[in-house]
Amino acid sequence: MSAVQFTLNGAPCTAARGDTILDAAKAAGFFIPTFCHRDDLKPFASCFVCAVEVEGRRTLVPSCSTEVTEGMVVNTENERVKRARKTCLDLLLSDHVGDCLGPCMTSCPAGIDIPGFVNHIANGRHRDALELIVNNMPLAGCLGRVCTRPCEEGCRRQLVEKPVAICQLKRFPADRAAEEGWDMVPSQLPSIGKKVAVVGAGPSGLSAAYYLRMFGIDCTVFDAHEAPGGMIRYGIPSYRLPRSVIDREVAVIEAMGAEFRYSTKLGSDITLEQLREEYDAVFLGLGAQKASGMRTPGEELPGVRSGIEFLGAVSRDETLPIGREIIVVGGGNTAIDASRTALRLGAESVTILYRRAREQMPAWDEEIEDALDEGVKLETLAAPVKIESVGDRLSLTCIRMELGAPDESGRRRPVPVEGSEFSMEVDEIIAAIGQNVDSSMVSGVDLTSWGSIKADEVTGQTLLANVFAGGDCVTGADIAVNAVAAGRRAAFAIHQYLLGEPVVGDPRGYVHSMGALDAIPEEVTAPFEKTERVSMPRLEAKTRASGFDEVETGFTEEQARAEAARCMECGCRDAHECALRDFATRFDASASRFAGDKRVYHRDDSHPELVYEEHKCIQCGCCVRACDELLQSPCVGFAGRGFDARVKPALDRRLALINSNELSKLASFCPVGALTLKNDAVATLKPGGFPDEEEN
Amino acid sequence: MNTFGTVDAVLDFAIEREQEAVDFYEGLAVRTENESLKKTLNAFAGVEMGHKEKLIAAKAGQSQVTEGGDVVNLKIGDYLVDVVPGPEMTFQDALIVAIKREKAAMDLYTDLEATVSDPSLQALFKKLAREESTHKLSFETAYEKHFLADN
Ligand SMILES: Cc1cc2nc3c(=O)[nH]c(=O)nc-3n(C[C@H](O)[C@H](O)[C@H](O)COP(=O)(O)OP(=O)(O)OC[C@H]3O[C@@H](n4cnc5c(N)ncnc54)[C@H](O)[C@@H]3O)c2cc1C
Ligand code: SF4
Ligand code: SF4
Ligand code: SF4
Repeated sequence: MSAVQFTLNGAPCTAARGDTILDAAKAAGFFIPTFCHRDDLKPFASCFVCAVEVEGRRTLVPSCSTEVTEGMVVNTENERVKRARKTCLDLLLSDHVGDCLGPCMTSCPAGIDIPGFVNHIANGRHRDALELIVNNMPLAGCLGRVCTRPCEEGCRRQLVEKPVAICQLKRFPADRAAEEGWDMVPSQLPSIGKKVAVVGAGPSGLSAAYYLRMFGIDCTVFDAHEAPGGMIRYGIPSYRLPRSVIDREVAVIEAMGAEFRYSTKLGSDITLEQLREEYDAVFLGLGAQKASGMRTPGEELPGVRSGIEFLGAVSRDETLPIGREIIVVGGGNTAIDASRTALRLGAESVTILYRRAREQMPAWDEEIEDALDEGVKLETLAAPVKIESVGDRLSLTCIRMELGAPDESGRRRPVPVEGSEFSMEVDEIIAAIGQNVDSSMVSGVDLTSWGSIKADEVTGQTLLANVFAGGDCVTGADIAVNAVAAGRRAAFAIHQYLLGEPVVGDPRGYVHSMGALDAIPEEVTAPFEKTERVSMPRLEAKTRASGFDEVETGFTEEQARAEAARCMECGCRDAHECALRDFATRFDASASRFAGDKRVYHRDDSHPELVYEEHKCIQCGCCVRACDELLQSPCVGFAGRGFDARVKPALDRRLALINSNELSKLASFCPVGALTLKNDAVATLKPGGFPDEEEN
Repeated sequence: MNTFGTVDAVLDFAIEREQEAVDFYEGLAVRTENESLKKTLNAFAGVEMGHKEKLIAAKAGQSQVTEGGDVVNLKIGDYLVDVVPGPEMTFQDALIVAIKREKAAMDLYTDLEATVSDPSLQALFKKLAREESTHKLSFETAYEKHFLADN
């Protein structure tokens, strides 16, 4: 066959006569996206995503059906071509209906493959479940106990009755591992010969160390405390998170080769300058360690201390002596933990004093309920104004507050009621009104006015190129899962930095979504019957408040499986193979560029093996042509004409006649998730695929 | 005895006070070692400079000192211990200093209003007091956000 000479993306190129531009460009190593084209089917040229520029032609041409001719000048990568591809994808996405990933997963800051691990639990595969979790979350047992569950806020199941108990399920395989004495140590890449200093062994630092080790980067973790965990050890009390759970999960990070140096403080024992010299990069996960002072007269008197100081002391010694009557000032997590801890140490009366109304308390509602059940009292709309000593006790003068007129944001803010002062006599006062970042020991890093570290939201990189930061020291006091996610993101960025690649963090692929809960068509939830959410077994309020035994005792196998079975497996079976998602990621496509009607949700799962989701079909015709040309079975055809043409599989009759082999071939011909096999689990991440298979 | 015979004299006095505030924060910023606090204090000086410019514009007849409804008085500053301003201050200290200075200014204009009988001067002092109370509110709002997050 004679050869054709032409120019491809500015360079001379040769192709066989009769080759299409697509064939020739592919052979030359250029990527051209296609939906309707398949090598084993006749050209169809309908999707136009493969369009390229041929100089001298007014319009772009489909590369799948245009033959290369002598002297042709072809551009497959220039801006015009990229824009055209993006437009084509934007149009396809504009009416597309589907969720690439479960909404729970996109609501989880750590991006855990929730439908995947929950499905494993439902099927009794604990190891697989834990393996999936630890891809994104090294602290499954810890976070499975204390996470404030942003994932559940996104969970679709609440449209049926209540969200799936995702967080509590997450702890289940970790507890099984502890009980049965096995660990899930992730695979690690070979050493890249670099070392990183991690300062802070809290959730963010632990997470950074874990992923750095996965990437084959040596790391040493420094912490001022004598043990790891940060606020989840020295803040969160052991009745919510037993220390053995933290120790087990840190042991895995140690087994992966991270070195830990405790009782070593940045600022006094080591300096940032030193670390920057000795290590290739530094991660700062310093947390928000400093309690805000009340700045009330008398605050310095003995018997007054901060919530974190108190919880830290109890964390070291759970037999700490305590007074009879205690006031805890504040309404957040720390105040609730301090009050419940005070009861456990033997205080007879513990009252929480809060400046605003109960509904405004930032603490988690369930925790407030637990505290009240255990006997903690709540005094809202009152603030401390003065503390005095009275013998060996304290007199606390408070003032009543009322909620003022709403401000511009609609919030009603507390204002003191003049002359409403009242006093109480107590033994101790614990002030838990907030925590701040103490960054006085980091020099050269850009800080916000209130002392938190300025770092890039995606990469965690600071203005000093080899210093990264994440967790509470960047966000201010926040929640543990956000700190874990920040540590993970920073580890990705540090890896890139150390390899000399562009520092872009862990780019998430395109994620299509059906929208917020109120946008979900009823048909989505209609097939699911109401099933009660399984409650976490817990100790009785009366017995639990007298000691530090763990309050929530964990699901039994039966309970875990029943709860996991409530999951509706939202997310697309094709998420990591879907060409639409892949191209949307590559060409930065957007579903919101073109407004218009969305497709109607219609899911046909009447066939025993195959599911057809019409709302995801992009009308590429691959299935129809495959049936005609390869399977010689007219089981799928087009209904309607022109713009309204729709693929109509005859799922009930003719498709039932073809064998499983051919069915799976048919499903594999669909470039998106419109035709899928039922026995393919909703796979959102490839199980066990970290980090070697992590491609986009 | 007060010396405020005219609207301009009152405005000059208020402008001078804002300049004093600018100098005060700039002076502190120079003395503090802490880089982020330096920035904060310079930002406070910038805010005061903005107040001063507003008054200068009012004096030149280009704008009015705003009149308006009641400003919420969170009274956070009323119950905080005094801070001695100095280079060792924290961000919390700096905010307390700012709140207390605005409160003092607000109280001063409220007191001065009572010492004049000319209705136009009374109205001006009232407006100035209101202006200071809005400054105080913005500092108290920041304080609430950063140091009373859980309270
Ligand atoms: C009482 C309390 C209860 C909480 N309850 C919950 C909850 O139920 N759910 C939830 O999700 N979150 C909760 N949180 C918040 C959660 O604990 C934090 O968001 C999380 O721990 C932040 O992780 P981090 O790694 O950023 O910082 P941290 O956990 O604070 O860890 C920072 C580490 O850095 C070390 N460090 C700091 N400065 C230095 C230095 N100069 N040199 C060396 N080491 C240093 C510290 O010793 C510490 O170990 C709670 C917090 C508190 C205080
Ligand atoms: S078909 Fe593709 S783009 Fe559509 S929801 Fe599934 S994975 Fe996402
Ligand atoms: S039902 Fe399952 S997959 Fe769907 S959002 Fe909830 S946990 Fe995720
Ligand atoms: S169902 Fe058929 S026409 Fe629709 S996207 Fe899949 S292969 Fe293409």
